[in-house]
Amino acid sequence: MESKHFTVSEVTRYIKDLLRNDDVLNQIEVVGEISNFHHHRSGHMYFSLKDDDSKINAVMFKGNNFNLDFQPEDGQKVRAFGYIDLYVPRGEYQLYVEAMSEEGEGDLYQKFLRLKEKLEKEGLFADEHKQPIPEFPKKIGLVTSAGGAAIRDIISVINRRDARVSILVASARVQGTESVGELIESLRYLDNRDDIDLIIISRGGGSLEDLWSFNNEILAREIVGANTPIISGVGHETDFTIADLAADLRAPTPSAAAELAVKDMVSIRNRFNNLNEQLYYKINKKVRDARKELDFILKNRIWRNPDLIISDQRQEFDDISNNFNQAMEKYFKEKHDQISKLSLKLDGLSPLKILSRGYSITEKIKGDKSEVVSSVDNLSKGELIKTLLKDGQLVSKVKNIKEVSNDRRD
Amino acid sequence: MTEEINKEELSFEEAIDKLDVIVRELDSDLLSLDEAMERFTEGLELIKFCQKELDQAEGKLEQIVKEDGEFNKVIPFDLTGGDNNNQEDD
Repeated sequence: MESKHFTVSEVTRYIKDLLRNDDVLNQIEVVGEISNFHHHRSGHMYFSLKDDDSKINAVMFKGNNFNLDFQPEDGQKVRAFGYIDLYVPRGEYQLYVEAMSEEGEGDLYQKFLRLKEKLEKEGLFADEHKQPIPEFPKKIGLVTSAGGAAIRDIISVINRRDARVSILVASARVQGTESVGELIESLRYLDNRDDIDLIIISRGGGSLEDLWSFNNEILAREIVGANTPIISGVGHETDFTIADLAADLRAPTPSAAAELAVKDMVSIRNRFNNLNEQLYYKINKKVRDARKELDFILKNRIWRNPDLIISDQRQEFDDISNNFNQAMEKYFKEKHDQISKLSLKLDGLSPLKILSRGYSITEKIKGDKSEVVSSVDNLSKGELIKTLLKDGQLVSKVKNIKEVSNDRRD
Repeated sequence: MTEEINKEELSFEEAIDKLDVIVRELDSDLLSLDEAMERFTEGLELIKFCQKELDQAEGKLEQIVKEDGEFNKVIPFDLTGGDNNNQEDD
């Protein structure tokens, strides 16, 4: 270079080119602690990353930070991915962050517990936020990865249990940096449609890291805020995520989510068919029984008594074929009354009636049978006899027999 | 007992439960034949209602996909396709 001096801009541009063309600096990963964090109205984030000895300014543009899965704050340790470039107006180099994750996630479980406690305290998981799950959803929205393991299970379970149910898949990646943003986008889309009765948000099993998108505060709020009832089915039985706690109903697995969402129509159909059959069977039986009972009554000897029935009852009997029910009810009632009257008359002649006037009946006991004794000839000394009185019976032993007309023995 | 089946407000499950109750009632000796016929007619109504629900057409399996960065295109979802086994993360 021949010129003896440079303009400020020229130096700056020169340095900018150096930085830009450096292989290390144009794709770099920096670990540090956030300080001076500022989320500008424009949506861009300005902050510095520092460690014990140094500090570097950083910017993360709106286009990159909108799907961050955490809220950056001062003092937080992060891992930032991006490039170093120079901001010409100020002549300052800075880190342009394209993606960022929380550092020290070694203790993910601790983080999960902290978030859980925070949201619990806030009441986000309270029952008052839980919506009832519709009994028979006609159309179910599915938020999961279209290429993942969960989707097959869910769809096949739903189809097997109730083929009438429609499914609309809104695919979202279920792990990785884009995941939370996509899950939220898909969920929101389905929630905003007016033909979705129920949403299932799901993914197959995996490590805590794999499931991490489902332990996200923003997603949790989205789930709670949705108008459509949501069932979550994330991972295996033992996996519990924040999304599960936020959902209206938590299923232990993707298939279980489908089972909770859709009733098994095979068994419901069986129950229905059975009831259908029973209804006809029962009414037929009822009519058959009534007819039998009527036949029985008509065959009874009482009806052979010509004075009692034939004339007007015959007429009524003919009407029965037209008005079976009414006739029969009336019939039953009248006949019942008549039978009651007859049995009252019979009662007057009954031996029991005689007993009530102070008479008794003597029976001879023969093993477990007994027969009425009408003459002392039928008895001998020492035998057991039973005496029937109006209100009970006596058993006694014959001690003495005396014939009234001629006195044979003692 | 008057007609109390309000089909608008009745859920499928409720209809089946009601049918169940009617079948049980028909089984008991307490009903007169008149009452039994009334229950039976009610039962027929419920059967008609349930049958209609059961006869509904098969549901659709679809996916919403993005066009120009927005979810706006509904296509049939192919369960047999995309069988790259562990594509959990696309």
